[in-house]
Amino acid sequence: MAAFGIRLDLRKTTALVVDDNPQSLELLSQILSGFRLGKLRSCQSADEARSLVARERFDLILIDFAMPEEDGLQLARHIRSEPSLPNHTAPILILHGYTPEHMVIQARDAGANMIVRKPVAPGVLLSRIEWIARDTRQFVESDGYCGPDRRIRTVPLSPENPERRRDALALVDDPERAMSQDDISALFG
Amino acid sequence: MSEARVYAVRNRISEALLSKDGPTVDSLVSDADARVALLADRIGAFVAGKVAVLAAYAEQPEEALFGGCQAIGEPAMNIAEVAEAAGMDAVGAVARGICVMLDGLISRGIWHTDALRLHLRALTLVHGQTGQAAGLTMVEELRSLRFSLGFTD
Repeated sequence: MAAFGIRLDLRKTTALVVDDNPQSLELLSQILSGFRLGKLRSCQSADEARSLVARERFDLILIDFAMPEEDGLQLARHIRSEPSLPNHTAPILILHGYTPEHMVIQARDAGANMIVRKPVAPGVLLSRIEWIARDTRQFVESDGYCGPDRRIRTVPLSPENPERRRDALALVDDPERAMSQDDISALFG
Repeated sequence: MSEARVYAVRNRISEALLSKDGPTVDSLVSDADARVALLADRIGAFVAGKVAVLAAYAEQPEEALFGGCQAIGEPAMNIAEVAEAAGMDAVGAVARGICVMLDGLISRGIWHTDALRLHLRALTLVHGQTGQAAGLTMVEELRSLRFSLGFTD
């Protein structure tokens, strides 16, 4: 849950909600209206959303995972795939009726910033928006992926590892030296 | 060899945190909760319509259930996406269980006609109940059944 007492002014925030379920769309729209967003656009299909994201800039995009025709992940990939689009790096929040691990991974790999289970309680949704507001991750573009940096932890090498690596490099740099089984084992140990 | 491009992006929502006179998080949540409460009757009617659609499948033969996977999955997901917002936790959980079973078919080829039929019947039953306790007991029983059949929520 979001920390109570914190101030969050979303009056200048513009958001897009994409959901084929009309009741869920209304629910999300009412919650976001309660958060006093400056501007809220909504649509019921990825096709309509493609048109909107091509011509308007959004600060936050909420997309339903499961939609007929084109699902939410395809839409997220489309947004991420077009550097010329005004929403190429916009935060994307995927929503789904249930969120097993394989779906979380699919959403993350499609370039989403976050996945949330529906129906989302207002306190939970606001805490996720606050999390996104505090998110300082860099953006990554590569052949197979475009989206927020998926490396959530960078673990430094333990103190003895740099020395071991230097020893290993010295061993393999000497072409005259035949490596003993102990030398080889040391490289994998 | 291709290289990844890593760069910083402007997070425009972060500016929402800088406000000194903006509304507090608790007032925003309270306003949104009030708006959600006003939707309860409409969500209730929406869920009732979808439950009726699914109830018709409960007595269908295996071929009809298998062939109607998508027609079952969509209303079940529609229910799972909203029911709890109107206080129908057990109805939402049973509908979610139906989605889990159908996802098991798509992602891993697991199919159990009787278990799916049991979920469809349970959905009608919990929808007709007024108290939450009995419904939640049934939710736990169905979850155990799914687990024993190899489904994971």
